Amino acid sequence: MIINKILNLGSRLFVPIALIMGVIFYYTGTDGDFFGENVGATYYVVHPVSLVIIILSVYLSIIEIIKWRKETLRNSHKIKSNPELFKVMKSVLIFIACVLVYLFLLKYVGFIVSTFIYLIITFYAFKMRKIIPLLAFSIGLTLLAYIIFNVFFDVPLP
Amino acid sequence: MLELNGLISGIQLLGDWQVILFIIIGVTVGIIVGAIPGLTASTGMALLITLTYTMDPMVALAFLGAVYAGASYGGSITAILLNAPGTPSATVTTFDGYPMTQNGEASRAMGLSIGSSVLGGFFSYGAMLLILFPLAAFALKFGSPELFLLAVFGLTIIASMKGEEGGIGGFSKGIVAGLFGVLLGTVGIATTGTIRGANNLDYLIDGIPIVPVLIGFLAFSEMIYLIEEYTKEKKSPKSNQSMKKVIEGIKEVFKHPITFIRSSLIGLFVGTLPAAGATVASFLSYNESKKYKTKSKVKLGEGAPEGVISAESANNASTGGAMTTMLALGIPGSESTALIMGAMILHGLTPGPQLFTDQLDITYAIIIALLLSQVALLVLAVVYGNYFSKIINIPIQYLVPTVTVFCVVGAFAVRNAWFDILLMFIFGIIGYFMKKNNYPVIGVVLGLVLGPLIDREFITTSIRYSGDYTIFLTRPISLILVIMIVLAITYPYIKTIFRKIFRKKENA
Repeated sequence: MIINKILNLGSRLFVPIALIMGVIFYYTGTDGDFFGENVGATYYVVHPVSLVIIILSVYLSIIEIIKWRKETLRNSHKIKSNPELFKVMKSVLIFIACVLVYLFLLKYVGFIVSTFIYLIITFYAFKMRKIIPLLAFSIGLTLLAYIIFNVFFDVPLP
Repeated sequence: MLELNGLISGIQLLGDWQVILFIIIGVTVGIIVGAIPGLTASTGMALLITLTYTMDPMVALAFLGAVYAGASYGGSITAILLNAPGTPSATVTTFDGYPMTQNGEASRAMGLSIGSSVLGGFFSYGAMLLILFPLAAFALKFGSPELFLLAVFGLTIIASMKGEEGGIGGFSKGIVAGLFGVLLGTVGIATTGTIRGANNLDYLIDGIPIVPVLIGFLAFSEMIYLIEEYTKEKKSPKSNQSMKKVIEGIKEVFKHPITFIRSSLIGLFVGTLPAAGATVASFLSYNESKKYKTKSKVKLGEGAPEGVISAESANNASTGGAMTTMLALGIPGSESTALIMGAMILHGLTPGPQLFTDQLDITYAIIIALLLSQVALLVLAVVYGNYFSKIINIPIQYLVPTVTVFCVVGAFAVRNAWFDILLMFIFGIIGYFMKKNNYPVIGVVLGLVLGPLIDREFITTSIRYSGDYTIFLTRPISLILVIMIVLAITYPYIKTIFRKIFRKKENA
C-alpha cells in the first residue's frame, strides 16, 4: 500500500523534478559568465526560459502533491489494495533494466551479439521461456535486423 | 498560384522508378504500421527514418510521405473491425465503425473508410497546391522579429490547447514542455560563439541531435508505455469481407458531399495548426457532425456512415495541412510532420520559406508524391484490406523488443555515436513520464525544433534594433502575431467568461 503511494507520487513528480535538474545540468555545463557586458545577447532567451521552467516546475510539483494527498486520502476510505501499480512499475523497471544492459553491451561488444543477448534476456524476463521459439526469434530478429540495415540499406550498426 | 515550371520539374523528379516503388512500399508499410495497435504513425516513421539515410532525398521523402498517408488510413482497420484503434487518430472511427461491424456491415465500413481517407487526402494535397505557395511567399517577408514571434505562437497554441483540457495546470504543462524543448534547442554553440549547456561533452557541441531525441520521445517512450498495458486480450477479426461491398462503401462517400467537405476542411485547418494533428482533427470533425441529422435513420454513434466519413476524411485531410505548415513555415504541424522535417534536415533540405526560392521543384515533387500515394492507398487498401486485418495481432511481448532494437539502430545511425543511443534512452524515459502525466510531448518536440530559431532570431532582433523591443509592436506583421499570441493564451479564459455571461442571460 505504502509502496503504491510512493510510486504514484514519484511518477507524478518525475517530470517537474527532471525539468529542474535539466536546467541545473544546463547551467553547470556551461563555461564562462552568464551575466555582464562581454556576454551580450547570448542568454537573452535562455535565462527567461530557464526561470519560467523552474517557476512552473515548482508550481506543478506543488499542485501534484496536493492532488496526490487528496487522492490517497480518498482512497484510504475505500479498501483498494491495487497491487496493479506496483506490478506495472515492476514490469517497466525490468524492461528498462534489460535495455540498459543492451546499451552497455552495445558499447563494448558488437551489434549482433548485444542484440541477441538483449532479446533473450527480455523474453526471459517477460516469462516467454519456451526454448525453441525464444532462440528462434532472437536469432531470427537479430539476423533480420542486420540484413535489413547493414546489407540492404547500408546503415551503420554499432 | 501554380508555377508551371516548378510543377514540371517536380514531376520530372518523380520519374525515377525507385520513387514509385517506394511510394507503394511506403503506403503498404504505413497501412500495416497504422493498423498495429501500439504502433502509432509517428513511432513507425521514427523507425523508418533510419532506413532512409542512404536513400536519395526525393525517394526518402516520397517514402515517408507515403507512410504518413498510409498510416493515417491504417489505424481505421482495427478500429472498425476490433474496436481497437491502430493509431490514436482512428479513435473516432471506432465510434461508428465498430457498430457497423457489429451490424454485419464491416465491408461497408471499410469501404467508407478507404473512400474518405483517399478523398480526404486528395482534398488536402490539392489544397496544398493552392495554399502553399502564397503562404510561403508571405512568409518570405518575415524578418527576425516575425520569425521569433511565429515560433512563440506555435508554442503557445500547444499550451492553449492543453489549457482547454486541464485548466491552469494543463496550460502550465504545455508551456513548460515547450520551454524545455527550447532550452534543449539552445544547447551547443550559439550564434555568438559561446558554448552553452554542453557539459564538455564533444557530442553536444553541435547541439542535441534531433533524430535520436525524436526516436526516444515518440517511439521508445511508446514502448515503455506499452509495457504498462502488458496484458491484453487478443481478438481475432471476422474474415467475411466482400470486395464488392467495400467498393460500394467507397462510392457511398460521394453520397455525403457536405459531410465530407466539412470534415475535410476541419481536418485541413486543424492540421495546419502546430501540434494539432489527426487525432484532434477527427474529434473536432465528429463533434461538428453530431450537430447535423444523418440521412438514414441511423444516428451518429450507432453505425452511421457520416460518422466514419467525418472521422477518416478529417484525419487524412489533416496530413496535408500539417505538411503545409511544415514546408512553408518550417513549423511542424504534427508529430509525424516533425519526423519528416527531421528527415529533410538530415538529407540537407531546410523546410521553410527558403525551400521555395531554392528548391521549388522538390516542393512540388513532394506534393505530387503525396497525391500519388493516395492513389496507391486506394488500390492497396481495397485489394489487401482483408489480409491486413489478419497480420496485425502481434503480441506486445514481441512487438516491444523488436521496436526497441529498431530504435537503437535508428538513434545510432545518425552520427555513428553510441552517445546518441543513450540520448534516445534518456528522452524515452522522460517522454514516458510525460505521457503518463499528461504533458504534451509534441510541445517538447516543437520547442526542440524551434528553439534554435527562437534563440537566433531573438538575438538577431535585439542586436539589429539595438535592444529596442518596441519593434515587435511597430512592425505590422509582428503586431498581428503578438495579438494572435495573446489571443491564444487568453482564449480559454475568455471562453469561460463568455459562458458565464451567457448563462446569466439565460437564467435571467
